[in-house]
Amino acid sequence: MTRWIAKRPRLSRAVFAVSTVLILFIILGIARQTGAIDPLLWSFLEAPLLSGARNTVMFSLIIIPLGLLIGFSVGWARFSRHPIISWPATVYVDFVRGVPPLVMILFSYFWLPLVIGNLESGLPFAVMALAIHTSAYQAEIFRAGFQSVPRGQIEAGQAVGLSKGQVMASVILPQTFRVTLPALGNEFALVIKDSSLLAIVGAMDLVYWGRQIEQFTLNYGVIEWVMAIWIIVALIYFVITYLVTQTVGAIEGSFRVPGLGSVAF
Amino acid sequence: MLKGVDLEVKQGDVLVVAGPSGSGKSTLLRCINLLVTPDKGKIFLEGVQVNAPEIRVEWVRQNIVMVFQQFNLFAHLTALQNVALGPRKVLGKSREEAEAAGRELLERVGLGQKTDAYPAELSGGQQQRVAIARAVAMSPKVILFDEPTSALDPEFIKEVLDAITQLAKDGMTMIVVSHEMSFAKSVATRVVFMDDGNILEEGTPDEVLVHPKHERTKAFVAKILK
Repeated sequence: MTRWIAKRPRLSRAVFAVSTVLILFIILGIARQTGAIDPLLWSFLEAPLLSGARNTVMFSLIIIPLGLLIGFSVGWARFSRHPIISWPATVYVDFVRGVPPLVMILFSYFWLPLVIGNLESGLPFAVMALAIHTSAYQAEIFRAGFQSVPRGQIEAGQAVGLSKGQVMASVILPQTFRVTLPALGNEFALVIKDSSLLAIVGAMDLVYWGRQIEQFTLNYGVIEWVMAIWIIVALIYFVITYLVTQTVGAIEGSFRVPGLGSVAF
Repeated sequence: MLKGVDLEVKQGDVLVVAGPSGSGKSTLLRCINLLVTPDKGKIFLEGVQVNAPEIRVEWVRQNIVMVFQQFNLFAHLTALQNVALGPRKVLGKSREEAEAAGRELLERVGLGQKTDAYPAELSGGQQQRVAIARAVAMSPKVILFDEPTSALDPEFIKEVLDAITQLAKDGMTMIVVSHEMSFAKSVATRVVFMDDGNILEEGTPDEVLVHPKHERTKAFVAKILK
């Protein structure tokens, strides 16, 4: 990392996050040992939920970077002063923000493969749809970040001879991250949770397996079990999302500039 | 809006541009370093026409640098990093070289103790002096000052004017848009009075400010000196 990063990420925050997650695991373990969660139920849950969690994480790891890439580019296009570049970007953002992600998933999963001629699996298209969805929101986040840099500094950069690219890299971008990271952390959490929509088209993620086990255990007729399943699923989502948002929060600390903006803690 | 300006500045000149608001002083300055593109006309630096389309605008701006009324320091960089950024990215100097030179420059403007301070931690006068150091760091041929003290609290004006005066003594060619008439009288080698997009009067500080010829110049000087 270059020298303009003010401080290293604060250690205390990372410690806090990791210890929270550890405590959750310990609670789960205790619940399982003491029988608060029926060991029989647990035996049903373990393998599928782990597989589902893995898939959820995998989907997120695909969707978030893709969304970042597209979102950054589109956000930059929105920021451009040339209508030829900014106008299509605006149309993209407005349109994508207006369509529910579930609709985009259903459309992509069932109908896009027919059009494009790939009849094998609609799942990649559905995943792509979610990437497009988040990219529109990220585009707006980045655009706001670019616009938050005072115009005078851009002029000052140019006035010492920096090229447009250098102004972007050395003046605009570092200050953009300071503003965009909190909002991006938000968006990442949303992506992780929205990935649950893929279960509707049969992706075998956490929610999918939650439903499978739920259907299965209904045969046993124990209502508490069904509740337990969803509580555990929620907890797993929480852990994944929490780790991501805390990481982003820690990185935020690196971009703080002494004297600028108020510091919460 | 400029209506027609003919101006020649010699090396080592300290040219003060005075005039009422809207007379085009800032626009003139911004045409010179091409922050504003002139619709018509030619601008020359040492015989090279700088507003010719084939000339790299970045080259022009490293030789004709500007200090702004609002300082416009890079908020995410320390004072030293602000000063060193241009030399590193544009002049290709190494970080050590640029920072060593930067430290020296900050010393010269009296901020040797503040090299690691961020702009938000500095007073207006200190920020402007960093901006001046940042400009000088590029070893430019000309420095343009766009009302450098107009945004400052009165207590800080002197320290900034002192820094500019020192630059003048060191022989830097400067064009200063300013309302500080006593500064103009003591430091300027030439003064230009602008009104409504035109240059009305041109001459030594004595000629323009003490014995102005035009009515409007007289009126302006009278108002400023009150």
